[in-house]
Amino acid sequence: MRWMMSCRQASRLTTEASYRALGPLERGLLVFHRSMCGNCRRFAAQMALIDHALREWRDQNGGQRAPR
Amino acid sequence: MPENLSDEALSEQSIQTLQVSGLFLSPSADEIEESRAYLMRYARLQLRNPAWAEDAVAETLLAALQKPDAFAGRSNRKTWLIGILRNKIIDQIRLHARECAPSTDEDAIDIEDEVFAANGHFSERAADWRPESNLQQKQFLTIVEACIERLPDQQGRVFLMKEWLELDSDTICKEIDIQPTNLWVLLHRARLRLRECLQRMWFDTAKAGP
Repeated sequence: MRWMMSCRQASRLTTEASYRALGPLERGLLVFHRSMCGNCRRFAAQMALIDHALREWRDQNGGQRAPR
Repeated sequence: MPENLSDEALSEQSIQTLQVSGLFLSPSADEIEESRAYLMRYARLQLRNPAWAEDAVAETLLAALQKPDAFAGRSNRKTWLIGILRNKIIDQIRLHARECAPSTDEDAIDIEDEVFAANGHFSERAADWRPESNLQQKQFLTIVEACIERLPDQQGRVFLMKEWLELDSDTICKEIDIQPTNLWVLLHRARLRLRECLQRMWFDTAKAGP
């Protein structure tokens, strides 16, 4: 199944999505994979929760970008 | 203040005026110590080297104390100091760029091989992280910080350069001289480790509790 990437690959894209905009093909493959994979759906939710927590943590710890 | 002004010439009233205007407000030793303590916490977390952390914090406090009125008067002193600290930390990273790059043994362990089986599937079922477990927000953030602290040195440094110093990828690669692909791998591993740590230290225990 060449359109089905592994969970290992999907998790990499999920991580990178926190830091960069994925391309249309990457996004499509990820959506397709998640539509058939509960683990990767839950993994994505976990990463979203981590992102949320990190934002909170940053806000409480001197948030905003440092003036350079 | 004119130099020939004698002590006697400073009447009670003029001292009060100076205090109110902030010129005479010097921070107390306790205030400095308190600031030093939390600045050290961040500097250690980010730099992973006690000596560099000491340097970054000392320079931060020196810079801050050159504006004693600002130090004593600011209501958001913590934010202000952390703003200075960030820049001093970036200076330290620059200064020690070569020593930042080599990874520790712990960095080299491939967490991906633990999380995923040889066929590319998750080796354990990914858990449902119920938002309800997230209610005690403050406690949860303490655990998040503890888990960040446990990251291997290189992963932790890169992760916080991204998440706390909010540097862009190009800058991070340049500062510590790594390739972009290497940066993604480090960030990915850091996140997988953070996930494992939170699972163990928060979500598993929350489930076991009443």
